[in-house]
Amino acid sequence: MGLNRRDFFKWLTVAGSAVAGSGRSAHAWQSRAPADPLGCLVDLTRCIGCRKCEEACNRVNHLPAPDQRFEDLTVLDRKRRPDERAYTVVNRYTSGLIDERDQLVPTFVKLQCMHCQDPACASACIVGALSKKENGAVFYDVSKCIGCRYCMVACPFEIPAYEYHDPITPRVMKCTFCYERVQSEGKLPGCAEICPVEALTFGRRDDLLKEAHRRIQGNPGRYIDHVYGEKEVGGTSWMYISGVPFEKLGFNTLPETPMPRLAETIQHSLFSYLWSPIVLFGMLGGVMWASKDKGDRGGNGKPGGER
Amino acid sequence: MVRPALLTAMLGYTFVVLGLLVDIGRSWAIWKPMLYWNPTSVLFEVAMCVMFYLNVLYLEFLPIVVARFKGRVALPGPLAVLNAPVDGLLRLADAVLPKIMWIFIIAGVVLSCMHQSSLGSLMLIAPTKLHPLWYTPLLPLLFLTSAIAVGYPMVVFEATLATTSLGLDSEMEVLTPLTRITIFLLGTYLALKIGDMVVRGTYVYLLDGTAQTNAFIVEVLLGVIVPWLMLLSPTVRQSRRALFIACCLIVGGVLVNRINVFVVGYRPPISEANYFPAIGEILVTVGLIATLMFIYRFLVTVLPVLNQPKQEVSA
Ligand code: SF4
Ligand code: SF4
Ligand code: SF4
Repeated sequence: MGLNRRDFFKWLTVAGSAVAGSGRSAHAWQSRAPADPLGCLVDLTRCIGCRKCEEACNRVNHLPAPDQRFEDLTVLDRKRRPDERAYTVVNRYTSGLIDERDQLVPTFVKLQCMHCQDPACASACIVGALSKKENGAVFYDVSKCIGCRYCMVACPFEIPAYEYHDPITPRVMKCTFCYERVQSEGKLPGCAEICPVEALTFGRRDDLLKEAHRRIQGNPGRYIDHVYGEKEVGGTSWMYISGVPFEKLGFNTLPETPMPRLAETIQHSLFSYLWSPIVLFGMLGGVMWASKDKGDRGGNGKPGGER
Repeated sequence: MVRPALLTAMLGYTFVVLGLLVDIGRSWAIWKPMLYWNPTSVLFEVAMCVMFYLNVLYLEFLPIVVARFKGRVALPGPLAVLNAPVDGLLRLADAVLPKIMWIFIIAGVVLSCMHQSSLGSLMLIAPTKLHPLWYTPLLPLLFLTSAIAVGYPMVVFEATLATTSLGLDSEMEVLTPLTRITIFLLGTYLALKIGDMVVRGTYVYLLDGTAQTNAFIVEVLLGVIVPWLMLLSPTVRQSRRALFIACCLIVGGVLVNRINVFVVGYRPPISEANYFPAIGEILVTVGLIATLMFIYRFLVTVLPVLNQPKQEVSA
């Protein structure tokens, strides 16, 4: 296979235009969010911090018994995060607002996985153990998981927890949106079912959004005009409305772009059909042949010692 | 020249994989990415690259082992029956490998490029968690250019260490010319890094005095700018000691860059508990590196790696 210089450069040009061409034809990023997902609306102005949802979640998901009983409201004295033993927790915030009897008005915030429309965790998971289901739930399949915890790096809400104490079969633990209950048994999620003051409304995400805006418009004094989760990270299945600005309640301010967008765009334009490695292989092969023709087979520009 | 680099890469990757095995929680499931593919996952790509690259590295290294043991296979005790078949295999490898080696050499370069850029892409999924000084769409390119730039300094670093500690002749006449290309490669990396900072306007953070900012300044100043300026001077390039120092700075700079991107710059806003590698993890890493050094010493003594006659060097 005698490849001479001219051929080689001709070939390089072809490869070059192939590169340019595939760059242009690379598709814009597409959301893979389900069209009509379920969701849950949390009305923080209604929540009374009774921790019934925590208890129900613990029961329906067969989680380990808590250190302090669920009736014990002193746990609200410090801020907690959902962890490997509790998919959801309620925290108490005081914004400085005072009622007619000079008492601080508390706001209670229930936390759990937001079930993002374009979940970073599912995009990141090395084996696809996390996936967005058609009904909106972000589902965890323990049989695929290898325990790398990349999902925890990816999640912008810092939700997935991990059973560090288990040396052999640690699991990633996060709210399941009661996938089995909702999907197979046709029931409500445990937390939404039990809530005594209807602070949690379960339903189709579109309906919930309308309801959220209806409540805000119907009572502008009671609510701030922001549905947290409507636009954040491209939208989430769980959404919140509140009377206190969300920044004061421990919610982080997030962009409206879905988290996986940039990473997936770059990944896709670099590696779709493995074009870049193939082109690079071809080019290096060409260089090697060309330098071999000149008589020295030393064209091994391999940078060593990197990792 | 090439062989020590190959050996480092091979041992390095082997130990990275062993380290990962310790690191992931469900080690017994490490084969699962081969079965369950998630093409959107950068980590999946990293895993595939490591897997293929490791195999390529072993194949590239095989001729050295073959050269050492061909016709000299003498397994102890009952294993002696295997002497003839093993020797046959070695002879077969000796006949076939040189003809197809170019495939693996190129594949090695391609895979390491892919691997570096995908390592750089790992943090792109967490725009709200990585400090803006490091979070840039250019991350994959920065990782790639810095990895290429660190290649020759790494060789200088090792060759100097190995020739000194094993009492071999120094290889200055080979090393000095190589540094010229490093000036160019490191300069490219530096230009990209500074250009990126200017375009995204992240220089506003430079004087805010946080740990992240200081780490960034150390990384760029000591790890890139200073050694780059050093290499510009011919005196430095000719002096064994100064060249060694410059190369150490470059290698250290890239190392610090990786630590910055994955540890120092990674600040999840909610969980205030700052992540710092637990003492156990540090010990594991240090232990792995120490073992690595030991095995390197052992292999260069037993196998014909260093100081080959000139014509074999670029094999
Ligand atoms: S909140 Fe986190 S864990 Fe839940 S779906 Fe979104 S990215 Fe995944
Ligand atoms: S820990 Fe499990 S679920 Fe999370 S990214 Fe790794 S494999 Fe996926
Ligand atoms: S949806 Fe189910 S798993 Fe999630 S917090 Fe509610 S009860 Fe727990």
